[in-house]
Amino acid sequence: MANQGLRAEQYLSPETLAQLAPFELRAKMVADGVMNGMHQSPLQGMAVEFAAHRQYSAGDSIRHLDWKVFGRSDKLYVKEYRQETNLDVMILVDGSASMSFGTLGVKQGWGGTDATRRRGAWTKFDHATASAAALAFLCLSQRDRVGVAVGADGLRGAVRKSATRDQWRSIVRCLSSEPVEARFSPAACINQLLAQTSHRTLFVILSDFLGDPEGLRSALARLRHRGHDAMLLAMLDHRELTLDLDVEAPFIGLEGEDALDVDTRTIRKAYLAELQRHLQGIDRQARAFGYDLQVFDTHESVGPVLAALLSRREGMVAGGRR
Amino acid sequence: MTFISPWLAVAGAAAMALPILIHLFLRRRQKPIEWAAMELLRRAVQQSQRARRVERWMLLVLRCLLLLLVGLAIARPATMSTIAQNQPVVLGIVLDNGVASRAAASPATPGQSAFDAARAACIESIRALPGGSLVHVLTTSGTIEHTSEAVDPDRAVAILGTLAPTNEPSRVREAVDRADDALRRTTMPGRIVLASSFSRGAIDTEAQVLPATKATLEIRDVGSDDQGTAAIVSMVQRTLGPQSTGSVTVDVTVTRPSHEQARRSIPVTVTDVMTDRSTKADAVFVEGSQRAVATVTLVVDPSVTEHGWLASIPADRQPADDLRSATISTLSADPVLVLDRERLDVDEGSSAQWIERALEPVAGMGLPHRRMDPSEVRTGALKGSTAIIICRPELLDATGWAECTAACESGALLVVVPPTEDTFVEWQDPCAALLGPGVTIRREVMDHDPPRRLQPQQPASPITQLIASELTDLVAPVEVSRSVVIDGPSTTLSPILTMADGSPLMVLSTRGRGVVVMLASAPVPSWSTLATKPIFVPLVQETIRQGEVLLDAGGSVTIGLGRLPEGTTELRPVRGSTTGEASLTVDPSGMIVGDEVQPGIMQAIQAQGTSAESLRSPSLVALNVDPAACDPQRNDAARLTAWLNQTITAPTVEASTDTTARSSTRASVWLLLAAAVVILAETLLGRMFSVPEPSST
Repeated sequence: MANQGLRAEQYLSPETLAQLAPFELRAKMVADGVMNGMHQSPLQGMAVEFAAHRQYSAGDSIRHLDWKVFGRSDKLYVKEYRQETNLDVMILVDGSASMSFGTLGVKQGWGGTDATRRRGAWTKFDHATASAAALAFLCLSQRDRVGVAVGADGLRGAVRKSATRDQWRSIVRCLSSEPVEARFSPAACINQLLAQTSHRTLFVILSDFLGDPEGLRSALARLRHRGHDAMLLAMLDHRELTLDLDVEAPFIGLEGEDALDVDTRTIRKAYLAELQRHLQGIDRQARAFGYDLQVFDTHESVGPVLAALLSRREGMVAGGRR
Repeated sequence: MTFISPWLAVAGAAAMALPILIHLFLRRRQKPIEWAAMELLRRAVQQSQRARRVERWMLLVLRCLLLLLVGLAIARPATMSTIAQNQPVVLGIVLDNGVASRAAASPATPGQSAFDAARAACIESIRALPGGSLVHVLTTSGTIEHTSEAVDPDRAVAILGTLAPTNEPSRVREAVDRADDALRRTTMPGRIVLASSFSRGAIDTEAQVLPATKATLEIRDVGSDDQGTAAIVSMVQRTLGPQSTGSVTVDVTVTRPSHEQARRSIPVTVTDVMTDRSTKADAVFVEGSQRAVATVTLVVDPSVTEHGWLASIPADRQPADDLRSATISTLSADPVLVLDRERLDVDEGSSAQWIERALEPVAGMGLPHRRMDPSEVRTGALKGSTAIIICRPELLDATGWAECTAACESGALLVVVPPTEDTFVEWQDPCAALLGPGVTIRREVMDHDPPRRLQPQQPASPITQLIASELTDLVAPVEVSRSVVIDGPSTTLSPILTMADGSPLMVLSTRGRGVVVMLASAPVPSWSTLATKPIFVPLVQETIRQGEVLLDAGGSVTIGLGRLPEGTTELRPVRGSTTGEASLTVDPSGMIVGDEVQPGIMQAIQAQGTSAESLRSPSLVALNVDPAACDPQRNDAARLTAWLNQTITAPTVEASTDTTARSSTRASVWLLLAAAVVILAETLLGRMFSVPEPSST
C-alpha cells in the first residue's frame, strides 16, 4: 500500500492534507487516518456493550441466558447490555469570507476548496471542512446519523442526516463545492437547521467565531431550548492566534470592513489580550448553555478535533443511557 | 561652541533625518494585509495605538538624537577660545596703564605692579595666538592707540615692552571702543583682550555699562581679591600747638573691610614731613567695628613755621578710588598783630597792654605779637597776619575796616575789644557789619551796678574747649562793671562767655574763611575784672590758638594725583619730602606732567593773574599717596560684572595648542557618553514597547 508505514498523525496534518488536491481524496485520507488511528479503540465496531449479569426470571428471553455460567454454576443468569444508541450529528461549517483566511502555504494548482484556490493557502475553511469530513466519516462508521451544512448569512448547502453508505460521499461533495463569502450568521443558520431537525441532535459548529457574539448567543439559546447538544470548534489561523507579524501596514477585512493602519509591534499585546477576552467570552456563553468551546490552530493536526468529538460522544452516550 | 570638523557636525545633523526618511519610506511601501479578525484588531488599535504612536515617536526622536550626538562627537566640538587658538585672528590688546595700575598687583607678588601683571597677561595671550594672527596694541591711558595697523605678534610684544603706566585715570571704555573699531576694519575674526586689575580707579566709574563689542571681549583680571587690608580715610589735626605747647594731636581714622569682624589693631604712623619726625599709635578695631581712630600726638619744632602730616599704615588700601581730596591746616608764622597806639600813660593799663601780657606772660614764651597803629592799617598792611586783635576800633577808618574785613574773609582771626575811652566815632556799625548780618552793637555803654557775674555753666565753644573743665572755677571771680550790648541772631553769633543775665560777654562769628571774636567788655579794671583774673591768660591764648584752627585757610591736600588747585603750574618739594628735590610740572588741566611722581608735601606755585584768594592760601599740596605703594580697593565682583556687562573669565589662558584637542576630546567623550545614555534609553524604551512572545491558546 502507498500509505503503508504512515502514522495517523501524518495523515491528519494540514501539510499532508493540503497536498491532496481532490477534496474527496483528501477526505478519504482523513477517514483512513481516523480508522487507523482508532484501530485499538475499544469502541471500534461496538454498538452494543455488555453491562452486567441478572438472575433469570420468568418471561425473560432465553436468547440472553449465559450458558457458560449455567454450565459452571448450574444457575440461570441473563446477560444485560447497554442500550443501543444512534447519535444524530449535524455539522455546521462556517462558510463566511473570514474563513478564507490562512497563512499556511500550499502548492498551487492542486485544487481543493474554493478558499484554497482563492488564497493559495491552507485556510480556516480548509481546516474546518477537513475536520468536518473526518467527523462525518467517524460518525458514519459508528452508525450514527450525520448531516452537514455550510452556512454564512444563511445556509448555502446542506446534506440531511443519514447513516447510509452514500452519505459520506454526499457530505464530501457538499463541503468541497461551497464558496466562502459573506458574513456568518449563526442564528440564521441554526434557525434553518432547527426547522429540519426533530430528534435530539449533536450540533458541531466549526467556525472562527469572529462575528458578533450576540448572534452566537441567540443561536445557542435556541439549541438549548430545543434540547440539542452542541460543540463549538473554533478554527483560527496560527497568525490570528499569535499575530507574529512585524509590520506597519494597512489591514483590510475579508468581510468588507474598513481598512485600518496598524503597527503590529505596538498593538500585539493589546490584540492578544482582546483575542483572549473574545474567546473567553464565547466560552462563557457556551458554558452557560452547557456546551463548550475548543480552539484549534489551523496549522496543527485535525486529530485533536476528532478526539474532542469522540470524547464528547462517549459522554453523551453514557449520559443518555443513564 | 563650534567644531573642529564642522562638516561632520553637518553630516550628523543630516543623518538625523535618516531614521525619519526610513520611517516614512517603510510606511509607504507596505502593501495592505487582509485580515479576518478585524474587530479585534480595531479594538486593540483603539486601546494602544495612540499611546504607542507617541512611544514610537519617542523612539524615533531618540534614534535621531543618537545619530546627531554621534555626529557631533565625531565633529569634535570646541569653544570659541580654543578654536581661536587654531585659526588666525586679529587680537586687540587693551592694556590698563592708568595710574591705578602702578599699584601692587597682589600682596603675594611684592614688587610687581598691576601694570606689570596686566602686560604679562597680554603677552601671554599674544604668545598663545596661532600662526598668521595680527595684533592691535591699545592702552587705557595717555596715547590709546599704539599701532596704526595690526602688527605681527612679535612686534606687538616689543611695543608692549616699551609701555609704562601713566598718572592719569584709565579710559577703558574709550580704549575698548577703539579696539572694536579697529577690529571691524579687518576681515579676519577679531578678539579683544582687556587686561586690568579693575581697581576702583581703573574703570570708568561714570559709565554705567561697558558697551557691547562686536568682537569677543576677553577679560584678563590681574587684580587680587585679597580684601584683608585697612585704609586711612581721614586725618584731622585736632589741636593747634606749635606756638604754645610744642605738640600737635592728629586723629587718623582707619576703616577695614566689612568681612573682618575680629578685634584687631593696626599701627598708624604720622610723620611731620618738615622734620621727618614720626610718631606711632594704634588704631584699635573693636569686635564687629569697621572704623577705628588712632590719636597721635607729635612734638613739633617751634622754629618750623610750616608743617605737614603724613599718616600711613602697613599696606594701605586706597579707599574709594584713586582721586580724593582733603584739607589740612597750616600754621601761621607771623606774630599776633595788636592794633593800638603805643601809650604808656594809662594808669590801669590799656586793653592792648593787658592782652599783650596775656599773650606773652613771660618774655620769650607764649605767642609772639607786635603792635601796629590802627591808622597805619592800609592796603596790604595785614598780609601774612592770621591773628589780629583790634583794641582801638574807634581809631580805624574806613580803609582800615575794609582791610580788616578783607583779611578776615581771606582767612584771618580778628579779635575786637570795645574802646575804653568815650568817643564820638561810630565804630559800632562797621564792627557789627564785620560780625555778620543782623548784628547790632548799641552805642551806649551799659554800666552794671552791682557788677555782673558770669554764668557758672558757660556754653560749649570751640574756643574754650581745652579749658572747659576748669571754666566754671575760672569765671567765678569775674565781675563786669561796664559792657556794650551785642545783639544778633544765634545763627550768626555763637556765645563764648555769657553773663549771669544771659547777655554775651564774648561772641564768635565766622566771615568768609576767617573768624571774628568780640568782647563785650574791655579787659581793663574799670570795665571788668577779667584781665586781672586767672582766666585771662588761657582765654586769650586759646582764643588765638583755637581761632586759628577754625580758619579755613589750610592748603589743599591732593591724594592720589587728583587735579591740582586752579592756576597751579608747578609743584616744588618742600623740606621733608620723601623723594628728591625735582619740581613737578603741572599742565593747564591740573594734571602732573611726566611719569615720575614724588609723594610728599609740595608747594603749589601758581601762575600770575591767579585770584587773590587763591594766592593768599598757603597752597601746600600733599602728594601723600604713592601709587606704587598703595593697594587700591578692588571693585566688588557684582559691580564689575555689571559694568563690563559680562562675567569676568578666569585670567589663565591655556596656551598650548594641545588644549584645543584636549578640550574637544573631552567634549566628544561627553557627547559619546550622552549617546550611550540615549542607546540605553532607546533599548529600554524598545523593550518596554515590545510584546512578549505570544502564548499558545
